[in-house]
Amino acid sequence: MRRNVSAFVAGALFGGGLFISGMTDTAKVQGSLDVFGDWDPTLAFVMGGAIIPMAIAWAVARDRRPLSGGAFPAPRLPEPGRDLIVGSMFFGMGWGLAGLCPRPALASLSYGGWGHWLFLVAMLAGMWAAVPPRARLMPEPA
Amino acid sequence: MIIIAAGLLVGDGMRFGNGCTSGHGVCGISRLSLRGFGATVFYILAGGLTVAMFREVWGVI
Repeated sequence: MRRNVSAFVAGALFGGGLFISGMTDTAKVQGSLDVFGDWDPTLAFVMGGAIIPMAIAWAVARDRRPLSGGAFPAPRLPEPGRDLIVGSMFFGMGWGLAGLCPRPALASLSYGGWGHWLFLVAMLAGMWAAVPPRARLMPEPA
Repeated sequence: MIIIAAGLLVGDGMRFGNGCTSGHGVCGISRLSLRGFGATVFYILAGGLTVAMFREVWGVI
């Protein structure tokens, strides 16, 4: 129960933050990537602003366990591999094309119109399609 | 068409690279993870180049 409540509160907070900061505004997101055109760097402050409280949260979480049980996620592989580079390049291309990344795409479903649903369906298809080639490139550590 | 392609790329990239904007950029960098930094550099680079090509060069988005 406590877990669900905290998940709900965190989700609401995150979604609200994405909306207020402009991360769900596709034109603004594309503008922030449009370095060679009409560049709007304001969203960089969203990421910068998000990193600060998150760094504090990691520091607080160190050597502690979540109240609702389980454990905080440990860092995964230590260094970037091919999977990370290829994946991030794909991700960035899609992000630039649509101005949507996964969380804002979900957050804006309620008002974004059919285009956002289309994006979500395509995104799920992309996630599904990525599983076999990924398994070949990077066998999951057991 | 562009939305479908973009969604496919984002979903594919998210699975392949194990993360997204908030995953790598916010959670990764804030714990000083090299993978977080690396992913953020590459997706911003790819995003910038994509917008540059499709908007400034071809003018389709």
